[in-house]
Amino acid sequence: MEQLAPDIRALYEKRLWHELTEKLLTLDGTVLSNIWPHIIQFSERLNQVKLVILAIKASEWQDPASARVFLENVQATDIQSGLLLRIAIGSQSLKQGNLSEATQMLEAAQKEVEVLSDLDSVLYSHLYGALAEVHKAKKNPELFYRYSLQYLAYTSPEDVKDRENLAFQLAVAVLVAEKIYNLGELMQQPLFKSLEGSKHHWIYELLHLSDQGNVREIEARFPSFPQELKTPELIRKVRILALMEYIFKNDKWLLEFNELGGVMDVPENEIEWLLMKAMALELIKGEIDEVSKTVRVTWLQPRVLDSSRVHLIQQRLGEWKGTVNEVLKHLEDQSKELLE
Amino acid sequence: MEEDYLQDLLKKEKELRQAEEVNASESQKVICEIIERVRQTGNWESVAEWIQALAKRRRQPKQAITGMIQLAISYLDSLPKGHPLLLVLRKVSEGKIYLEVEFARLTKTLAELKEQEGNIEEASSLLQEVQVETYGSMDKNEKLNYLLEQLRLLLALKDYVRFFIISKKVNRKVLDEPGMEPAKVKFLEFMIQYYDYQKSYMDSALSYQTLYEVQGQGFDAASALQQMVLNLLLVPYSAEQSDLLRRVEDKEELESSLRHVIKILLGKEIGKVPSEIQVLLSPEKWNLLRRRINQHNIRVVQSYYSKITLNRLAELLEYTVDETEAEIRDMVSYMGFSAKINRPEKYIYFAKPSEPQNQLNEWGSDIFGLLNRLEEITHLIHREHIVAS
Repeated sequence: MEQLAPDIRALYEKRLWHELTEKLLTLDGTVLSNIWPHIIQFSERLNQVKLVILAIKASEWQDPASARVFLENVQATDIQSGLLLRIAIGSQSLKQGNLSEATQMLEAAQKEVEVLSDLDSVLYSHLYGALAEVHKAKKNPELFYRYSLQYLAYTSPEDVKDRENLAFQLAVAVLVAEKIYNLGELMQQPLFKSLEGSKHHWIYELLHLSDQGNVREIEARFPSFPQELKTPELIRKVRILALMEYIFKNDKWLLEFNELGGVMDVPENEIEWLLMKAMALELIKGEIDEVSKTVRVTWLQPRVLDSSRVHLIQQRLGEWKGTVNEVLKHLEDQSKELLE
Repeated sequence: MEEDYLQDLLKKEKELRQAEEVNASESQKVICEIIERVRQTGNWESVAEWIQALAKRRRQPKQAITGMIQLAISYLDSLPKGHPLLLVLRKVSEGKIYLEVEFARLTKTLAELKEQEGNIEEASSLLQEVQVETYGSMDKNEKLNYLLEQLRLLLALKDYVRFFIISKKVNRKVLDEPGMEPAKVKFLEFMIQYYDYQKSYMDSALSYQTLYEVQGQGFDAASALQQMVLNLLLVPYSAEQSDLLRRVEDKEELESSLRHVIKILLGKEIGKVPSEIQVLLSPEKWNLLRRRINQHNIRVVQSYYSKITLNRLAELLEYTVDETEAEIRDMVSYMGFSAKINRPEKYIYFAKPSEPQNQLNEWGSDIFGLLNRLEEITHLIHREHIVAS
């Protein structure tokens, strides 16, 4: 105990366990791993979840193999801390390169976490963070993106490490992922704004252009993209996004092929493929009439609304209210005899 | 001396039969002894004669005859194959219910013999005569193997009608018992040959699925899975097919090209069959698979289009116009598909019958949904206001 800093010792002697825990949490990982043998001695007194957090912090400074051994030696006494510990071991296993083992461990933990309620948000944060890493390693942009967003939801911004990098990876994932068309979700994140003006500014702009459906501008910039994004799939995605934006902005049911060709910047015989793709992804619902070269759209995937879009909807609802009123009046006029 | 002894025995045998009370075990002992004595002389013809004679004698106890025949059967092992004694024994056992098991076994040996001689037809008809499924005294394992043997020969003869009848006699419950796996695998393999002949691909697929589940029985599980999928792909579209496909779509033992085809069939997009699969299928099945994919594609088009010209549809499917038209005709006739072809104008109209009542209901529920959502939004905005102020 002598080696401990005087303030910690004082708290220990006064048996102020909560204050002691908080104090320890402010310490550096290296310091923690040095004094760990001492912490063990009074570990039962501490909040178990926080104890595990301390252990995770201490392990971060070690190489994955010894960190794992270190974590495996930590005794967790209740369900929450046990789960958290297993999640931490799972993510060390991933760092060691055991992808399948890590997946197994984390998915098992996830199942348990999802049936329990009222857990410390730290658990979710670690779990989703680790799962996002797993799916990054598995090259599954969809799940990487999904879990990362959940991770962000459960983690306070100052705890997120390497924000700019994560934001960049998410931006790439959202563009690469086959089924994600709701860019607004990411663009709303404060994290995403950190890309503005950074070295990744181009991707910040790219997402905005995609969201606005500016196909031509993106096509013009296409050659400058990194290999990962220089794919026909990306262009297709941008075109479908443009289609969605156009449908949203135009209060029309019936769209003609030649106007869509202009919107998506494609020749006429490719329009149907894109429409079918959008329908298969359940982004729009409707019917194509190839004989008269039109498409009748009846539904559009809900999207994140910025204020200009909200304004548009307000306008449209206003118009709708007017027409409904007219119909009502018309009906009343026509059926006077019945009502009298 | 030997002769005298034999005479004594025969006398004894007669006495035993004529006694008021039948002593079956004593009779059995005596007649077995007689046969054994005769055998020792090495004269097989007289062994045969004695067996026939003793079996026929009046009031000969059944147990004694059974004992004698069993003893004689044990001699067969040391004799060269196809010894006349076999025929004699079989003849003696024929029609005697207490010797049915022996009769069945002897017949089987005889059939094997005929098969080795290349006379499969006779072997099969010999085996057919034995109604083994009605035998009460035969244990189920032996009975099963007997039936399997019958099935095997019928398959070799390509007598599929009889095969099907016999296959119905196999007790499936016995197959599922632990320890019966080898017999089960054998049976399934026979059934698959039959289904394949009948072109009932769904049954084939289901059999392969069971084979896959009875893993590690010498049959390569991965290839069973692959065969299951290949058969399943040839089945016309149905809920059961989709369900089975969904269960195997993520199996890693499957080749990626096969998984790709599964994805097409389960998906909602127009797809093309990868040509790698062609080597796995006979030309006939390959063409069928291509047709199935095309039918899927037409269904996809139907779900997205209200009208399409024949030319354009053919272009999307990479088919000729005539083939496309023929396929749609078939689908409408046999698969409960709805479409109308306007021949003079050359376009297809995908009819989706909808009653005004339904349309009105749909409209009503849409409006209801919209209003609900509006209400929820108003509520949320209110709450924001309160929190902010």
